[in-house]
Formats: sequence, C-alpha cells, structure tokens
Amino acid sequence: MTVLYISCAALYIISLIANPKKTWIAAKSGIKMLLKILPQFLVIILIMTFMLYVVPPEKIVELLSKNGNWINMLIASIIGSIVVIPGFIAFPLAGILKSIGVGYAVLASFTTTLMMVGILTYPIEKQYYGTKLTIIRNISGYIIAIAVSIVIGVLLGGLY
Amino acid sequence: MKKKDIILYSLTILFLSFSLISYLISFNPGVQLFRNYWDYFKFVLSVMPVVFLLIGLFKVWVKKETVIKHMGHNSGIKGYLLAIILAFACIGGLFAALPISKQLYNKGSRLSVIMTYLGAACVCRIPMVLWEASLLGWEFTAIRFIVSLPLIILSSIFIEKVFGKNLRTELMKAK
Repeated sequence: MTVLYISCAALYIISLIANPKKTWIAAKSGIKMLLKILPQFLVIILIMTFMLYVVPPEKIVELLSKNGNWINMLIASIIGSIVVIPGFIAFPLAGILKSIGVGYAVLASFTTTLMMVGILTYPIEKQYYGTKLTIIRNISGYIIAIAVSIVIGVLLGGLY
Repeated sequence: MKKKDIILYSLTILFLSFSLISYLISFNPGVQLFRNYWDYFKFVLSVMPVVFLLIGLFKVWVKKETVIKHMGHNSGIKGYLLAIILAFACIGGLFAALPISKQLYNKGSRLSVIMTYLGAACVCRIPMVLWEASLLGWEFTAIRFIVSLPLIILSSIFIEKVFGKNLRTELMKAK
C-alpha cells in the first residue's frame, strides 16, 4: 500500500515539474472517472457486506465439509462465483478448509472462481465493457477455473 | 448528478444511518454489518483514489502510438507477456484492473491483450500469490499458474476472434 502511495506521489511530482498544466488535467480526469463509478462501488460493497453476513465463513466451511469431492467442487465454484470476498478473509478461510481436510480440487475451484468470476461485480464490469463481453468473460473464467481445479485435483489428490 | 447516482448514494446514507442507530441502541447484527462494511469501505477509500489518479497520469502522458506498438494488433506474443507482467503488479484487484484495462483499450491495445490482462490480474497479483502460496503450498500456486495462464491467453484470443467485431461499437459506448 505504501509503495502505491509513494509511487503515485513521486510520479505526480515529476509530472508537475515537467508540465503543470498536463498534471492538472490528469488529476482532474482521474477524479472524474472515480466519481463516475463511485456510486456503483458503494452499492456493491454494501451488497458484499450483506452477503458476508448471510453467508459467513463458518457457513462456507459447513457447506463444504459434507458431500463427495465432485459435488463439493461444484458447490465451491458456485459460492466462489457469487460472493466477493476480499483476500484477507478468503485465504485464511481457504487455510481453514484445508486444515479440516477439504480436498485441493475443492480449494482450487473455490479460490479460482472467487478471483475470476464475479456475479456481484457484474454491474461494475458492465459499466466498462458492456453486457455481452462481461458475460462472455465471466463464463470463460468459470470454465478455466473448473479446468484448473480438475488438474490440481488430479495432480495433488482429492478428486475421486 | 444523475438521478440514478442520487438513488445509489442514498442507499449508502440509509445504511450508515441504520448503522448509527444500531450503535446507539446496541443492536448487534447492525453493528456486525457495519464492521464488515468498514473493511470494504476502507479499501475503496484508501486504494481507489490513488489508482484513478495514476490512470489520469497514464491518460495524459502515455502516447497512443506507444500502446499500439507494444499491445496493439501487431504486438504479437510480446503484447500478451506485457499484459501478464502488468497484471502481476496490479494492486486493488478487479476494481482497479477494470478501469486500467479500459484505458489501455482506449489507447489502442487489442482486445485479446486486454482480456489477458484482466484474467491474469484476477489470478496472479503478487500480494495475493504470496498469501495463497504460504497457506496452500507452492505446488498449488504453481499448478494454478501453469494451467490458467495459457488458458486465459487462448480464451482471450478466442473472444477477440469470435466476438471482436461485434463488440467494438458496444465497447465504444461504455465508459
């Protein structure tokens, strides 16, 4: 985080020295872009908040500790596609899942869909890329996630 | 401000008032909800402005020709490699990767390179990788990379080939 702040400040100072007018335009257009998307951001994090409350990590652990591996993998991929969990919750959760014996394939399908497929973030993605491309991208992300999980399941165990 | 934005903002204000009341009458579920909210909110507030300020600089200083040369239609495999390297360094996840990639697209990067960047930014941002590897093991992370990156590139090429032409107008309309 600090790296981000320092590099941003450094770049702005350099830019300011090179061309104050251009720098001003850059800052203004950056803020304008942010304000354009901010209302959507705020609503998405509101939905994510409620989601995390309805489906807390304990619930996910409970859901994934029953059933066979293939079914678990499917459930994990569906949960992963819908919810958006920030890294600081997702990875400790994956660690817990691993420690209670959830297979690698299930873990892979959970973490990979979590990262690549975002049903909740759809409204934001749509703003940038339109409906069609957003849907195509998410579907292909889902397929890739499943492929990755199967390979991991075959190589590291946990898929039979 | 647009009407839609006002409605969206008022949802947030409504939630904040609900949280405040929850605190005052110590309504536990409400307090818990706000704690969850605050973590996300902190993230949006601390990362997103910086990301957008940097995008602003990029927009002003980076020439269109440069992007076209390195990530455009004739960039070949270098374009994809560059997209993956940029994705490694992406901080802020999808929320940051979306506006960054759109800006690259506007400057002349080809669609398949952009899709590779987006996909790779989801899968292999450095801070996330370190965390994942320490909890789930390096083999896990390594296999995930080796399998997903080629598939991401292939699917990106596929998306561009099949949908590229139809999508151009829609992409221009979006922000």
